[in-house]
Amino acid sequence: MRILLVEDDQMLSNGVNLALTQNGYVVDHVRTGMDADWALVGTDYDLLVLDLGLPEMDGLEVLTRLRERGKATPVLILTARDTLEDRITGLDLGANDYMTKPFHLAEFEARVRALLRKENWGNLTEIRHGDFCFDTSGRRLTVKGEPVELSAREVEVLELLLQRIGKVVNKNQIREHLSSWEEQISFNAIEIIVHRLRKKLEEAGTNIRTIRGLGYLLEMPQN
Amino acid sequence: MNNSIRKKLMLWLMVPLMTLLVVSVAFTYLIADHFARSLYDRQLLNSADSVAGRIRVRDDRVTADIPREVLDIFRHNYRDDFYFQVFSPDGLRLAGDAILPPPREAPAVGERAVFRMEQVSGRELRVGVIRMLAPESPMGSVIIQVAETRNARRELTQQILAGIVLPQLILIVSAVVAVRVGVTKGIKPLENITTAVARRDPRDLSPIDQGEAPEEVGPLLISLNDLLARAREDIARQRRFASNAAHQLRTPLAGLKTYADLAKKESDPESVKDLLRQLDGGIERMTRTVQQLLSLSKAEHAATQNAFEQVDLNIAVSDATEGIVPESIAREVELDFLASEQPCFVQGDRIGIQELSTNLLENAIRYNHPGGRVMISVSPSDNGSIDLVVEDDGIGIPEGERDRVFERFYRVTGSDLDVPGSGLGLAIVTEIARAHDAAISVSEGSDGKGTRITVSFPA
Repeated sequence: MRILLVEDDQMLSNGVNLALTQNGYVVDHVRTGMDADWALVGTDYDLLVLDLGLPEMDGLEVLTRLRERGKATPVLILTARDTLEDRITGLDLGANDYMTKPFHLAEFEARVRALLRKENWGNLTEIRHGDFCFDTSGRRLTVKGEPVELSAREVEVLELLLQRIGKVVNKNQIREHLSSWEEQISFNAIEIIVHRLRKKLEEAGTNIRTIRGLGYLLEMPQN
Repeated sequence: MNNSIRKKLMLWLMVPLMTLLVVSVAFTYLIADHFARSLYDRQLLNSADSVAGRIRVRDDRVTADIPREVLDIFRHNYRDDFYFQVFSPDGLRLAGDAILPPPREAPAVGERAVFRMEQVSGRELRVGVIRMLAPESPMGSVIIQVAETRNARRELTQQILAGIVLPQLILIVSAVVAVRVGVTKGIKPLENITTAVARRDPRDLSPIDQGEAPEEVGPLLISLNDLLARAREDIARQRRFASNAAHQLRTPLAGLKTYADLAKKESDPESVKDLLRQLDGGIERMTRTVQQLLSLSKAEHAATQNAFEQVDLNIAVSDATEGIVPESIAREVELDFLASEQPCFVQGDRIGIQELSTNLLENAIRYNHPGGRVMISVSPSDNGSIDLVVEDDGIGIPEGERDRVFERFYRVTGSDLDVPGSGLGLAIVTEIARAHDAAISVSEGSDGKGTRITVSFPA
């Protein structure tokens, strides 16, 4: 899951960045509205966490421009403006959720999970196929009731494949999903991640099929 | 209420009116007394002439035969007693009542009568004396003395007095009543305004209605409404600022809260320590912001020109510069202070000017880079003002933002993000400069790099 964080306060953005990273998300961080606008043009994010009082371009302007470009990216507004009008305006302009500063980190994390769950899993909290069960909130996999240890990147790849069951997910999609501006993932690394993930899924009877020249496809056991 | 308009008006009205009344009573009394006396004296003289007409001299005997009815005519309306006497030239009573002593002086024949007052057995009598020729008598002449009590005279005097003084009294009383009513009516709108102001909610700063106010209090109301308008503006600005400040404090608070939450979740002691260190830094920055808010509020309210003193700008600026040296060393920015040759005195608040200088220097040092230079100078300018100039070769302020940097919480875009700032420093500078009637201008530094801020104090 790749998240764009737009916040100009250094301490708050560092803290939120750290928390999101600890949860296994890939985070890009910008400090001005203009930078946010550029980032949103270049990359499809799974979630936009947006402050409103930004230098150069106001957060609401960033949001308006995003929606005008036809992007449905979920948006969580994080702001010091707390009047009813502010909240209504923000939501009407296309934000999905609104949090007033200061906030509890746990609540913020829960809202991030909820927004991503709605976007990626149609609000389902778990995806079950026979012995295979994926908890979309905790991002945990269990097979036959036993937890399966997955690295953060393995989880990311699994989620991508799960969201497109029976369809080909190409390597470029995976790379964009896993990379941040700081760290680009190579195709080699992706192959290694997929290889490990395939092994761990074998016991559940699921298979990650490699389609040469295209990408990967997740096959569920037919019950 | 010694300043009551009503009391003052009454005093100014009553004192002259009462004086007038007293003087007029005195004069009227004198005049009435004079008229009564001359009128009744003439009648008394007539009576004396009538007595003279009744005197008979026969065989050296002098008689005066005056019938009762005639005596009655002599008495005025029966309220007075009338007496007459006839004396020989040497004072021997020849006829008439024995009630009066002989006259001490008598006029010659044909001369004007002589009048006097006489106390007889507790009564005041008016006495008139004439001399009459008596050719038949060897004495040659007789003296006739007439006297009457003064009841009729007194009554006349009193009537004249009453006729003049009573209307005056009525006039004075009506004047007092008229003035009281007039003043009360005139003051009524003023009292209405007083009541309206007294009943007002303290938060209601809307202008007072001037509709029915008398012309005389118009200027007072205009000044009062002007004051209210200024108070209204001031309070609106304060409210905007307070709400803005509350919002501005929320973001750093959110940062602190986030780090605290992260630390709670963290189990590795080293990571917790690191988070706590960052938290501490955040608290320090926030403390600074709160201090700046307090300075700003102080600069707004405390800087009244009444408390101003002669301040040598060189000394105030030098103190501020000394205070900032440790930070300039830590940030590896070279700091120069250029004092003027002569002392540069301005009327001002020494602490305020120091605060102003410190804020300008802090900005110049913080929005700079290692190896940068900051120069602060004091010098008299060509147009008579005294200029405090802070110049740096730091990151500078884009031309389009030079006006906005003095706004509260405004921070220059793009460049400032790694510098912990509250966005209040220049707002504080603005407030202090305003209190000193000093003008601020911003331009770029001497080589087109950095920023140059000039604060021109009136000398």
